[in-house]
Parts: sequence; structure tokens; C-alpha cells
Amino acid sequence: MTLSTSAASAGTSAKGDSGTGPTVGGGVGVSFDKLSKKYGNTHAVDGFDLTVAPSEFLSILGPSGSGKTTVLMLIAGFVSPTSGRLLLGDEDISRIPPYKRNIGVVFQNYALFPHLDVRRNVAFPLEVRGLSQDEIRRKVAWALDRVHMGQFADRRISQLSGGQQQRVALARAIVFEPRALLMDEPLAALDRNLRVDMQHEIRSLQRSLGQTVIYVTHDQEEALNLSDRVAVMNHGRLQQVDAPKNLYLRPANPFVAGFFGEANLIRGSAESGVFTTEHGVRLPVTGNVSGKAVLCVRPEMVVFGEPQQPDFPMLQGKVVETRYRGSVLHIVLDTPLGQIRSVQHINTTNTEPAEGTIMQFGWDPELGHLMVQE
Amino acid sequence: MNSTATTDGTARGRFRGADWEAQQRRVTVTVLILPVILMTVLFLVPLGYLVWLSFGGPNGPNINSYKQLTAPVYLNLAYFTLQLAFFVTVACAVIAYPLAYLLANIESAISRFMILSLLISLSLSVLARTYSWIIILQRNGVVNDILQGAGLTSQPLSLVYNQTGVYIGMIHILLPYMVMTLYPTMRAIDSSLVRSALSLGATPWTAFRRIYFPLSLSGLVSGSILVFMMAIGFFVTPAILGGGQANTIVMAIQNQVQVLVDLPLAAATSVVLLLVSLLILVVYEKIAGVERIFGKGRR
Ligand SMILES: Nc1ncnc2c1ncn2[C@@H]1O[C@H](COP(=O)(O)OP(=O)(O)O)[C@@H](O)[C@H]1O
Ligand SMILES: [Mg+2]
Repeated sequence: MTLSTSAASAGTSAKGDSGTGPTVGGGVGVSFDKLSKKYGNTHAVDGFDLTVAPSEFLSILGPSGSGKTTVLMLIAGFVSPTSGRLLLGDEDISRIPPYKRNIGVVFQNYALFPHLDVRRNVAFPLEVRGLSQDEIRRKVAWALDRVHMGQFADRRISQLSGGQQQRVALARAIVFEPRALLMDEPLAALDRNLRVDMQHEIRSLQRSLGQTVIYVTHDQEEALNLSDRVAVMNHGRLQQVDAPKNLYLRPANPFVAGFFGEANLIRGSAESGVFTTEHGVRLPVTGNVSGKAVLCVRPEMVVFGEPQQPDFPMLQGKVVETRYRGSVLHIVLDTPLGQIRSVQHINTTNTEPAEGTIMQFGWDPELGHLMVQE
Repeated sequence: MNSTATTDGTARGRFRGADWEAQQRRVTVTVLILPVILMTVLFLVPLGYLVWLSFGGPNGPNINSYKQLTAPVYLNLAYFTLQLAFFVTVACAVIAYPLAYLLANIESAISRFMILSLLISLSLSVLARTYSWIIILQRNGVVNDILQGAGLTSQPLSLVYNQTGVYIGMIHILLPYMVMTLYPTMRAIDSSLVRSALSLGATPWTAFRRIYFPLSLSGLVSGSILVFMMAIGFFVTPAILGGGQANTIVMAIQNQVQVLVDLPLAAATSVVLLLVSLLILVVYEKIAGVERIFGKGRR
């Protein structure tokens, strides 16, 4: 399996003091070293190898049951790994109990203490650390201010809306200056508009604090919006770790390609710049993959009409379905490559082709993306 | 013109609303009639009769019976009863809390089996359960056999027909009530709250003390009130296992009725017992009122 861990991968050893406690104005890196967790015969997390840089915003994205929560629980220390190591900065924390890890966690259901008011909730991590009343008051005010909840300090938790509870949970998780901040689908329970607002706030908070954030979500839009890098998981395994743009344009395998948006996946084999489909159609490709491969062509890369370059492959397809969706027109074609989906932006010049129309179509070989077939 | 139409529409809407409300009220009243009649006939009338009797009945009204209750013998009985109920309650709480905790937090066939056993034991007759303790605790019973067999004691211990037997029997009989009150409260405590406390730096003990325990307190208080009130009014177990050495206030009532044939005195004793129970309930209501606000955020 190909893992492209190109972007920010080094950097844990850069901070000398990273293991000694909360670093003011910045988190530390988190490294997974072949970390695995088995439940009976289920590999909830399988051979996780990943380095999160200090102050990086990394999302873990995957379908339900892919092991995202288990990864977070491993980092937080509520689940012990079956094998492998976990490093926080350069300290091995695999065997350290959760309350000594200094990692902030925002739970999906917020997990605010219902018998304490907002102020006491946020003060909790400071009280158990034995800070002075004065310091506690100052830091709680600071944290509540950061999430715009200053005027709600005396409210009971049950008197807050979902979005406000979310903010309090966030304030409580950052108030003790944790070495890293973990969030498990923190916005899943909020309605759409609020979710977008909170995304912005979480991102700007993370930037200004220089906090290392590991953010679990099953919402790809959220992951792409927020993250420096996204780690895509499936069946407990890392599929790809990359910057949002690369995940779309350069997916590592068919799963990732299918996970981010629509993709035409064409099976076949590649050799020296030529891709031969299962049906024997030969297409020019770029990239140095050889052997069994899958060609990924995004629907919006499909163009119609005359070839624009000499080496532009043009094929014929029969329109089987057309559909308007907002500002775009979806066209499905029956072609020698199988069904090909395309998306065209609607403008004044293009018209909807009738079903059964034979059309010339193709794509820029530079944009087609070749993946090794597993 | 426009406004006239609006007013008209609103008025009609309001009228329909009132009609609907009236209908609702009629339904409510109809449904409530039977329970109200039953409550009155089966509960309030006898209660009124009891109070009337306690103030002398046909010879009354006087407070002679209440005066009699201030005699040392009754004060001692009341003191013993309260003390018995108190220690039984404390013992039940201490035993039931960790038990309920395990049942609520450990998913296993064993915990399901134990919950089932507790429910079954609640449905068994108190009389049968009390008599079975005689078999277990008597001089040549199972416990003494084991103790002597193991060489821990040379003489059989007297475990029954005294206060020890009453304590053992009452704790055994009332324990399931405490567990069954604590269990749902503990089940309702979101496990992510304790985890969240740990992630915030609290040691397991601090997390228990500051998060789990306060959230389970409402169950502990309800259970204690329930057990205490049942213990105050317990008759069968102290009568059978006490051997005359553990006389409670309810046993005194029986004595007043059957031996002394002093119905006003028995009535007065009952009224006092009832007032004590009511007092406890009022105190509980005060605490539970606070708890209700606490409990709101619970998931
Ligand atoms: N405590 C557990 N016991 C047994 N299996 C578990 C436990 N927690 C998670 N799993 C299993 O591990 C896999 C990953 O679960 P999880 O990490 O919760 O996935 P996600 O958060 O991505 O939905 C699932 O197959 C799940 O059933
Ligand atoms: Mg999950």
C-alpha cells in the first residue's frame, strides 16, 4: 500500500523541552509507531504509522467503524495498545495513565459535568492541578473569553444550547494548556450553519494557540476545511495521509478516490505511459505506475467536443442520463470504458444533450490519476 | 378593513382553542374521578378514623394516648427502632454501593444474572426469607458448622433470636431495594464524564469523588430514604429473629392492640410513626428538589 506522507512529517525532535509539560503557545508532536489495537478478532486499529507535527491540525477521516474513535482513545490513554508505541513529543506515553498525559479531549457528547456550572467545569482541570484561586480565576476568564462564553460563566450546563456547550467543552480542554488537543466528531450534533461557524472558530483558535489538534470526523467537507493534513482510515488501516488538495487530485488508492467526491475508476494495466483497460482500450497516461492499475478520472475533468491537444484521447459515448444539480449538469455516458460520469458547469452556451446522443469526450492525460491496484 | 378581518380570525381561533382546552379538561376530570374516589374511600377515610381514634375516639377529644407515649418504655422503643433503622440503612448503603457500581458498570453474564437474582428475591415472601435465616444462623445451622469446622470458634455462636439476627435478616431483606434504587441512577451516569475528568488530569479517586459520587448521590439518598422508612415499619423480621430482644415500635402497636386492647394508644402510636415517615419524605423532597436540577443535564 502506498502511503504518501509527504507534507509536514518531521519536526518532533525540533522542540527540546517537548516532553516536560505544557508548552506555552504551542503543542508538541504526536507519533504513532506501528500502533495496533485488537478487540478479539477485530483489528480496530491496525499498524498505525504516522507523525503529527507540533501545531499541526490533522483530521482523521473515515467511515463509521473504521477505528477513528479507537485512535483517539489510544492517544488519550483510555485504551491500551495491543502492540506498537505512541510518542508525545519524544516521550513514550504508551504506558502512562490518562490523567498524567496532559492531553485535552473534547468528547462527541461534550461530557460536561452536569452538577457544576460553566465556571466550575472550566476550572476543574486547574483545581485538580492545585493552582491558586487567583490563577484559576484568571485562566478560566481567559479560556471562556477565547470561546466567547465569558457572560455565561454562572450558567448551569442544562441552560446552554448545543453550540454553547460545545464552546464550554472547548474552553475546558484548552484551559490547562494541554500538549495536544483531541476532538471526536465535536460538531456532529450541531446544525449545519452552526457547524460552519464553529469550524472557523476552532481553526482560528488552533492557529492562535499553536495547538496540535487531532480531529476525528466522518464529514469530508469538515476535514478538508479545517486541516493541514487529513489521515484517511478504513477498516482500522491508514489509507493515505495528505494535504486536502492532494487527496482529491492524487488519491493513493481507489478507496480514497471514491471517498472524496465522485470518481470514474477504470481498471486495467499500465506500461510505459500507456494504460490498457480491461476491454482493450488504450489510453495515454502520465506517472510511472506499471502493472495492474486503476485510472481515476474526476467527472469535472471530462470534456466534450473536439480534441484540444494532439495527444488528447477522444472517445465516443452515448448519453444515458442527464440531471441538473444546482449550477452543474451531470451527464452519464455509456462508453467502451464502461459508464462514465461527467459534470459540466452550466453557462449560456452549453445545452442539455438529449438521451441517446452520441458524444465525443475525453480528458487531459495530465489530469487522469493512475493508482496501483491492490 | 384588513385589521377587522385579522381580529375576527384571531377571535375565532381563540374560541376554538378554548373549546379544545375545555374538552381536555373534561377528559382529565373523567379519568381522575375513579382514582380520587378510591383514594378517599380506601385511604383518607381510614386515616381520618385513625386520627380521630388517637384523640380518644368516642370518649375524646383528649391527648391521653399521646401523653402515654412519652413513657420511658415507649421512648426506649422508639430510640431502638430509629437506631436499628439507621444502622440497617447505613449497612445497606455501604454494601449496595459497590455492588450496584459493579452491576452498572461491568457488562457480563454474571452481572445480568445477579440483577435477575435481586429482582427474584424482591418477589419472594419476606416471611420465607426470614425463616430461612433461622436455618442458616441457628446453633446447629450452616454458619456455625462452618465456623466450628474451620476451628474458628469452639462454641456455637448465638446468631439468631437476638439483635444480631435481626440486623442480618433486615439487611438481607432490604439490600435489594437499595441496589435497585442505586442501579438505574448509576446506569444513567454517562461513562464519558469520568473519562473526561481523567483526561482533564483528575486521578481515578478524584474523578470518583468529584464527578461520579455526586451524580450517584440522588440514588443513594432515595435508596436510603426507602430503606429507612421500610426499616422503621418492619414487623416480621424483628419479631421472628429477635427472640424478644429486638422490640420495635411496630411490635409495640401489635401488643397494644392484642394484649392491652388499647386502640386509642395503638392509633396514637401509628399517627406518630406516620408523622415521622412524612417528615423524612419532606426532607427528601427538599433534597430531591435540588437533585432534579442536578440531574437534568444527565444523559
Ligand atoms: N470496546 C470495544 N469492544 C469491542 N469492539 C470495539 C470496541 N470499541 C470499538 N470496537 C470495534 O472497533 C472498530 C472501530 O470502532 P471505532 O473506533 O469506534 O470506529 P469509528 O469511531 O471510526 O466509528 C469497530 O469495528 C468497533 O465495533
Ligand atoms: Mg467514533
